[in-house]
Amino acid sequence: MYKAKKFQHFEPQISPYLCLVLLKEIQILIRKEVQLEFKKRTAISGVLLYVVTTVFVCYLSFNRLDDAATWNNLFWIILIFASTNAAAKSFDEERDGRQLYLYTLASPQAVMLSKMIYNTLLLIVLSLFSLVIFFLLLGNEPLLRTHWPMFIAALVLGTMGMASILTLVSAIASKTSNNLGLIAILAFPLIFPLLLTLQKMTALSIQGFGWDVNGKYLFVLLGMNALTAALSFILFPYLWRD
Amino acid sequence: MNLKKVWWKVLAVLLLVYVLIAGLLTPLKPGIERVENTEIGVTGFLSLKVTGYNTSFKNNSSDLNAWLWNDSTFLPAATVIASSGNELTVNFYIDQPLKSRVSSLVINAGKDGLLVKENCIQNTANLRMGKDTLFANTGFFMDSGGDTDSYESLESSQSILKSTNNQPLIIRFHSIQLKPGDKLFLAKTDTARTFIAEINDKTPLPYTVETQTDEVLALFQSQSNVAPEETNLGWRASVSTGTLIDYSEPDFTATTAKGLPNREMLVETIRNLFLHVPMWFSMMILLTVSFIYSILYLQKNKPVYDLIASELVNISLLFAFMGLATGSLWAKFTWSEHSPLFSFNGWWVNDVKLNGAAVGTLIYIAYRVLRGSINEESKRGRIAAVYNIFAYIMYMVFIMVLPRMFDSLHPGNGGNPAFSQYDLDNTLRPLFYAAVVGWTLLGVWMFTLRKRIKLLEEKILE
Repeated sequence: MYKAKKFQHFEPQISPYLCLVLLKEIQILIRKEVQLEFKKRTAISGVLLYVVTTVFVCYLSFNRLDDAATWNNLFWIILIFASTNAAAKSFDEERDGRQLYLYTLASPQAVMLSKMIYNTLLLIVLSLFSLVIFFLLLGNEPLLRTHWPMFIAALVLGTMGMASILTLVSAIASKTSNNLGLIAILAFPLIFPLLLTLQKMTALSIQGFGWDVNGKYLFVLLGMNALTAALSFILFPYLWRD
Repeated sequence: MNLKKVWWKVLAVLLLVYVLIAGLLTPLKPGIERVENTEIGVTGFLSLKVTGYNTSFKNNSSDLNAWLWNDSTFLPAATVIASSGNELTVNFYIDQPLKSRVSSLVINAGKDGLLVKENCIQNTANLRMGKDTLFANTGFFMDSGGDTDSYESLESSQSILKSTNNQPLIIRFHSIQLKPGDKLFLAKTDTARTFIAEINDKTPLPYTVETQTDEVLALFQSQSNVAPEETNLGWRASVSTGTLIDYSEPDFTATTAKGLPNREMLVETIRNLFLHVPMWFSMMILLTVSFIYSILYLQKNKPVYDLIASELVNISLLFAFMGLATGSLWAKFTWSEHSPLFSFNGWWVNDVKLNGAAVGTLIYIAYRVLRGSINEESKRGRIAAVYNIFAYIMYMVFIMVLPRMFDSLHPGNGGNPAFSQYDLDNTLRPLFYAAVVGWTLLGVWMFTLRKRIKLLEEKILE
């Protein structure tokens, strides 16, 4: 079994060797997450079912959505609730003893980055799945003029940002007694800036605007993602030791 | 008591007392509260009923002057009559179609300074096609056509007509309101009215009168033999061999009366600037200190740093609630002036800054909930510090980046002028800075009290 070098300090140390170790650790940890998911299949299927059920409720009340603004806002509202549900489980597995065992094997940075990357993948799958379900149940009439590269870019960057915020917040919430209730109230206010930008960007791309109009929002999203990822990376080591 | 230790508390109290007294007692600059009868056709007479605020029109009546500001040209008023300190009737005679559809009113009110009501006059010409347009097209008022060289236009009765070379004045009346039977008078002084002519059926317009005098103060029109007290609006005259004194454009550089800026819509509520905005400033300052103490706690692991960070957040939340309350009141009575008082409309407006304020409040309430849900002390401090650092930076992103991407109703955003742009003589600025410093120091004072209580509680528990 692969055994990582144990880190003495929490601060990220930048040297080529340690970076390689970190990458190797991340790779293994992500593989672990994916394998666990495929083995149990409860988390992902639970979240996908959550999306289907919620969209079905919307379908029962709206039947068909012709208004682009409503379509867009509903999509993001459902997506942030589903994402919160999905990411809330990030640190469920690592309760008690198993968490301690994991931390002796890998550096906290590797744990954090692997969870973040895994959550990003999970949320991208989730968002694309939600998109398909939306199309199936609520129709795609409002999106006929959509600038798709822009829309998908917003979706991917948005889910990346949400994943990094939600991963850190779920790490925080997992330390408390009231995990699920707390994660929403901790994470939603932090997601608002991201969500506002995303809603604006997708609303514009639904109207058919491309890079020229949406470019600045894209850069804002990239900046926010970099910031949240960096903050999570720096702050997580302080969270895990008990 | 050692004064050296409490000087900043004394300073806080003094500053706040100064802000409250000076901020509430300094009067507003004179301004125009309301202008009535503001619709005009293409040409014709415009009689505006102006209601001033904090003005003394009657006392300044000798200096009163008014202009219609349309597309960078200034049309002087025919008559400006002050009926009381706050009431003024301004009459314009518009002989050419105006370039722009909306005009502003500029009043030079002597000691009260220059009063401007922007875009208050609407040109409704295309709603009333016909009569007015007909007049404009027939050239009925095209006096200046052939006689431009010898005639100068007299457009304001406030102007004194003075003949050059001491020759008698020749005055030409051209008015749609002159009817047969109307008698024309002129005044050389304030009281003496001299009858000059009577209009009859055959009188062609423009009606030319040669006067016996070389200086005319005002011109009157009346149905009876007695001249009216005030200049009637129904005339316009031009004069040959005369020069117009006091025919000028408004002087925008003139010093105005002292006082707080009198802004449209804000009016007296501008005093809320000393309560509402310093709340957010103080909150941000305290949150920044709290953020720094959270970083220190993660590095040094001293329990007192965690206590300081958490208590600063508590005081900031108090300021946030106060800021929300004052802002909500302000929005209701300015932005949503016309919504009914007892309806829910207008207390909250969809605006990116309001959203930022709400998000900040939510974030730090969540911070308190997070602290409440962890019992173990060192764990609580660490996790709360991590959340505080993360939340502070995300919140900064929210309030720094987003207002630049979305429009806002707030001054300084979305094309609205910032407060500093119309505080030309700096009456707001010292009060505002005093308020910021005063409220922040008061916040720090409250914080030190809470910190002492917490430390004493811990001592008792031990």
